[in-house]
Amino acid sequence: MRRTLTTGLRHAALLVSAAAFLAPVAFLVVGSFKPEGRILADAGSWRAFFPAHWTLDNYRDVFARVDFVRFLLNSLLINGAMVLSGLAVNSLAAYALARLRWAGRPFVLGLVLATLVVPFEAIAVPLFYGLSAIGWRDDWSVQVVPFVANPLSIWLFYVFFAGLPRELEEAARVDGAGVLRTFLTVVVPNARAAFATVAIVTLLFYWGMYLWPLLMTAGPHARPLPLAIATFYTLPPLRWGDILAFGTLMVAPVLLLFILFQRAFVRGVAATGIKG
Amino acid sequence: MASVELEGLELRYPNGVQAVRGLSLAVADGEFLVLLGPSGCGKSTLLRLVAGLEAPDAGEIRIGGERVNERPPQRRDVAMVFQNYALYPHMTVRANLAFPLRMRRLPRAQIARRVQDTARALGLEALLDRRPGELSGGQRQRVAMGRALVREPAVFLMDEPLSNLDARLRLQVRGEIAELQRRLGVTTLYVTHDQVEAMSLGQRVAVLRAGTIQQLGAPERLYERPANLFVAAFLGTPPMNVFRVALEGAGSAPVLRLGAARVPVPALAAAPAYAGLRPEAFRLAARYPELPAVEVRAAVVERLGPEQVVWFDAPAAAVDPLAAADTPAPRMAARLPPAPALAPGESLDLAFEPAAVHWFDAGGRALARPGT
Repeated sequence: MRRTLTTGLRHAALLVSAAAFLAPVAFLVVGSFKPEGRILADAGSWRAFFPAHWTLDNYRDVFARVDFVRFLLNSLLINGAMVLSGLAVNSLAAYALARLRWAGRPFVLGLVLATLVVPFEAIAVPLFYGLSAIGWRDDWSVQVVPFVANPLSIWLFYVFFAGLPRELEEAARVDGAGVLRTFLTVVVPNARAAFATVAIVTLLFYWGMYLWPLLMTAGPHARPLPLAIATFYTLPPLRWGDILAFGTLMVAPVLLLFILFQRAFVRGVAATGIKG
Repeated sequence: MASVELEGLELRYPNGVQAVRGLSLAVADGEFLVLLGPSGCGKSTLLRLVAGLEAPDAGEIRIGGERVNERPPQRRDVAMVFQNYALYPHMTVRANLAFPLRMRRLPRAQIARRVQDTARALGLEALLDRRPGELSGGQRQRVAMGRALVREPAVFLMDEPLSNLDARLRLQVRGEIAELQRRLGVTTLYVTHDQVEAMSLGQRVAVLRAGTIQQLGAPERLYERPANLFVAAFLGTPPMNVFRVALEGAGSAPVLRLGAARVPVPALAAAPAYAGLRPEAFRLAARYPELPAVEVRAAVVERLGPEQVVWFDAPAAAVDPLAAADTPAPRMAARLPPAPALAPGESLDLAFEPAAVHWFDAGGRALARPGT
């Protein structure tokens, strides 16, 4: 009886906090389907989450006012390149830190961790001047390369690799694989969970990046989605419906990928199954 | 196939532990040599040095007469069976067996044939498409053996390959390993802390302690003529009874006392400090009136079927040679025939052959008896 009560209370608390986290997302999605006039009018009541009149006007507006597909492709290119090259570079760096023996290894590991506490805003301006000086700006690659090596990703990989049973790699070495082959054929397949985690974290972090593309790009040809949404604030008329529709469109791909990756994530953990 | 020579090997781990000190060892081509010792004695480290998974601080490792110190593991042509098998969990049994061959870039058809042959030899054919997670402990062990065999390496390294199996399976696989090695004639270095495994498998056994070889030789030689107290006590279940020598008869010939028993000390290279008697050296005195005998009280009786082990309070200053210097051992053991059945608390007279006594000097080194 008492157990049922505490379980019930716990579930109630979980529901309330879940609702609190989901409310803004629900507001965003629901609002994007409302006529412009209803959005602010409904905002103060339960109607904010409940569209009485459905409309696709806001979405039509978005596609009419900006080249949405162009910005989406830019974002996909930049973030896709960032995630893939980040997985390759950071996993290799972490493997070297976790498993290879070389002079200065603890020092380099400390240095990598130290850079975790440096906020990007602190180096944005010097980086901007440096890259501008060599004429590297206003394309997609300049939005990728400076962020490929990532201390957080290295740390996540490092912790995971350090926890893998060493015997697997040693068996591979004795069986005839070199260091790189061991990494590719034995470590990577057993580290799918780590790769999925780092991919998600990287994507979530950079998908909404605003400051750096704003500094480095001049026109829509290389700009990602977050800069496009800003045009709705700066170019009249100010229409909240358009902003909400654009926001929904911007969140959708990440949400989709997250759901897909989450499955891979769970499968990765289950498939590792390393026990005696 | 190849010989393995280790010369003056030294290895100190970064944490300061000296795992191997000045160790030299020669394993003949085709020989089955067992490295035996308690945990932490450096036996696994030695195996890892041969495999190339550790690099020695000093000394030379030769396989087939060639120095291999600088070669990475994949270029030493050795195969290793790990204690927990280290099967690749993401690959099927077939892929696990094929892995070492794929790494050597053998033609596809040849890989398939050799995997099939190995699977047949080890009875793994029905399991080829399963993953390690779906196999029993015994099956995994077999796959691990197969992965080592499939390559036909110059040297087999086995690191306690049976320690994760239950007793019955261990016995069975032990026999299979012995038979397999005889048939293939591959030089084998086998690490274990189990003396029965060592005695039954090894053509020669090296007993290790603290990174050095205590004694190297045929199993029966180690048992009958242990070179020092450590080897004497490490081999045998229950271990050899060791006690401090109390001599009497100043001026006259020295005599050892064990309770009421008196044993004349033979001519030895030095004065003995310790004496040792194997549990099976004791007999019931009634049948051997001519032998020296000691009266004891049985404290614990273990009836094992073909024999009974009687533990009794030590009638002399017994010590435990495996523990720190001169740690007292309160009891000694005797292995007796199952009849007559003895009960705890019973008094009995135990006799022993004076020639069965092992003698050791103060440093624990065995003192050779005249004529041996």
